[in-house]
Amino acid sequence: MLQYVVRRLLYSSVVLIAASFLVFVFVAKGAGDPLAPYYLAPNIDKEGLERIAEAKHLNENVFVRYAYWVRDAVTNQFGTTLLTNEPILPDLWRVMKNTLQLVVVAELLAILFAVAIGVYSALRQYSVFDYTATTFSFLGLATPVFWLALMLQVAVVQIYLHTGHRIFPVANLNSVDPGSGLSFVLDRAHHLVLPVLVLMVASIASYSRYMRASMLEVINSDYVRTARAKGLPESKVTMKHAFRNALIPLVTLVALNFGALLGGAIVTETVFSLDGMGLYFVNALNVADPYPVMAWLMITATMIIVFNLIADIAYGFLDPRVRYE
Amino acid sequence: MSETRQGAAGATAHELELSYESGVEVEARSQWAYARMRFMRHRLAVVSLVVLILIGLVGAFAPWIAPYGFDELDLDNTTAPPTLEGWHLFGTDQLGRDYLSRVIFGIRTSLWVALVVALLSTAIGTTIGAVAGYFGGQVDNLLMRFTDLILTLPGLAVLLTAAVYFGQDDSVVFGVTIPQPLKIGLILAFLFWTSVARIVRGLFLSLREKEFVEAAKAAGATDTRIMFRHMLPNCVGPIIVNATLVVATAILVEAALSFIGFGIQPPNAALGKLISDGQGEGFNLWWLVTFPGLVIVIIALAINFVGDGLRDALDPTQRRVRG
Repeated sequence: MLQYVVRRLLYSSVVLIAASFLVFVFVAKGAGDPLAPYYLAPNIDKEGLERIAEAKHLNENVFVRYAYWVRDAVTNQFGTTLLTNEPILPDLWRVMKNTLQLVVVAELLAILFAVAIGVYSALRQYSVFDYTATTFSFLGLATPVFWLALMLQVAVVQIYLHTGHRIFPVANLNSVDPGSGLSFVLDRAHHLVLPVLVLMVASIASYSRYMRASMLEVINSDYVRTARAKGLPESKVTMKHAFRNALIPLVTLVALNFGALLGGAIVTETVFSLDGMGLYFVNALNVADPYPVMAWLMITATMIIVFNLIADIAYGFLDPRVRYE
Repeated sequence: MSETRQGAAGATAHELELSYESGVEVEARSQWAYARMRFMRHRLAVVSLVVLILIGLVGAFAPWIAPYGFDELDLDNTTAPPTLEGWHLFGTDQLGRDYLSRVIFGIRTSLWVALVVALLSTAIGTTIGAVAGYFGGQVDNLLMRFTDLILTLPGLAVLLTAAVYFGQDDSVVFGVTIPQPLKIGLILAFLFWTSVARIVRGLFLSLREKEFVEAAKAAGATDTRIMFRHMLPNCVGPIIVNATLVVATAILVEAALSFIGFGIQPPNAALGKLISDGQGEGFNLWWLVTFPGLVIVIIALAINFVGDGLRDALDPTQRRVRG
């Protein structure tokens, strides 16, 4: 087991290092000179730009630049941004904390709803409830996340225009003056209602389908029939024998999805202008600054690798038939 | 179900046989004929297919169908809510541009980009999956590790990065101009081939143990011939189903890219871009945001239903035609 984890981590580090080089070449070469647009601006301090190019080694070849980047990443916390020369990591920690709040709340709620919907759909297969749930998950999977977010904003704004009530804020993590203590928490929660709702819809749509399929498979399996045959009450059969085993595949799916979501709900955060990982990344791309883009990609890739590993290990704990080689 | 229905492709349905018991003429049906009959029973899928074909035709003939040009200004008729007057069914924006026409042109771009993604990713994925599954061993290991690597990438982020750095304008390769929307399609295709690769690999792993493959080998067929003439036709069903679903995903992802502003660039029309333009006009003009999005939902929903119908229809283990 320990051997398995160590081997996976070693393998992942190699992949990560190789990927970091490829991505760096990709970002450095693809962008050309990241300062080029600024040279064209009329009132710009050309010497200042040249100083930046010098300090960031932009004139060296790509291997040398990669080496400098690795040095900064390892010894200097991913270094500083291109133009403003600000440290990158403190910003990343701040946005990650915000993203965590959003994603954890949304995923927990989504799992609760999805499991309930999926199990009930499976137990009452082809019932009105089952068909309704299926219809809604099809709709949820066909709806672009950003459009759902916009429609919620449109609805809230229209309600405000017609009644004068602001039900929910449509942007930002907090009001201008959020206060402190409990009022800060309440203000934050109020701002997160719509984003959480948007994130939940997509997750519920896919998790509930998954849960339903997995529950149906277990219900029709031999050992559940055995449990019934030996006279166990139906509630015990579904809850103890079927439900717990049906949850196993969902655990993997959720772990994988969660790892990816830590990279920020890029679309949701953009629409609601939430100061999270996703918006940070989009902003970095917008100013074509390779350094925060690299830092973000590395941290997110690491998260995904770690959560993949967690998913595999969890699977082994939950399903003793799985063996690690 | 009509007895005169015949298989679409390579059907042997013409061969009429006499049933020796009753003397009634019985028509032999090909796999395709059975598949089509099963598909036609799936009412939602058939309706969705009709809707899709209609939307596709509207997109294909956009310049002739759209009541106005894509960028046609009408400064006397700005910010009109949806109205029958002048066919402004989806309203107009602050420059008086007709949103129905803009959406029709958007459908055209978005649909063909999605088709490119589906075709190209299916071709890449099928080849990689077939090679991995057929040869197995180290080749399989290497290719599947590569597939896993792509699967662990933060997809949307990589797409955004690639689109920002490579996909922002037309480019010329060997004297051939590659239009910008096509480049976005290529970038999407290079990330979307993994699912079909895994499917084809799995099928090939079991197919290569079958007797007909052994027979082909014994007859001296080359590896390429066995892979593509003998084994691949047995995987057509799952490949088509997957390709259908890729079209839906591609439309949604392309819309998100274009919405964020890194996808399809003006002057090309795209549904996602129309939504973000509409958002820029403020939420008073709700129709600018609502209608392009609604069209995306309808397209994606219809494709998913068609995919569902195809999944049932193309499963050769299901021979039942009547329910």
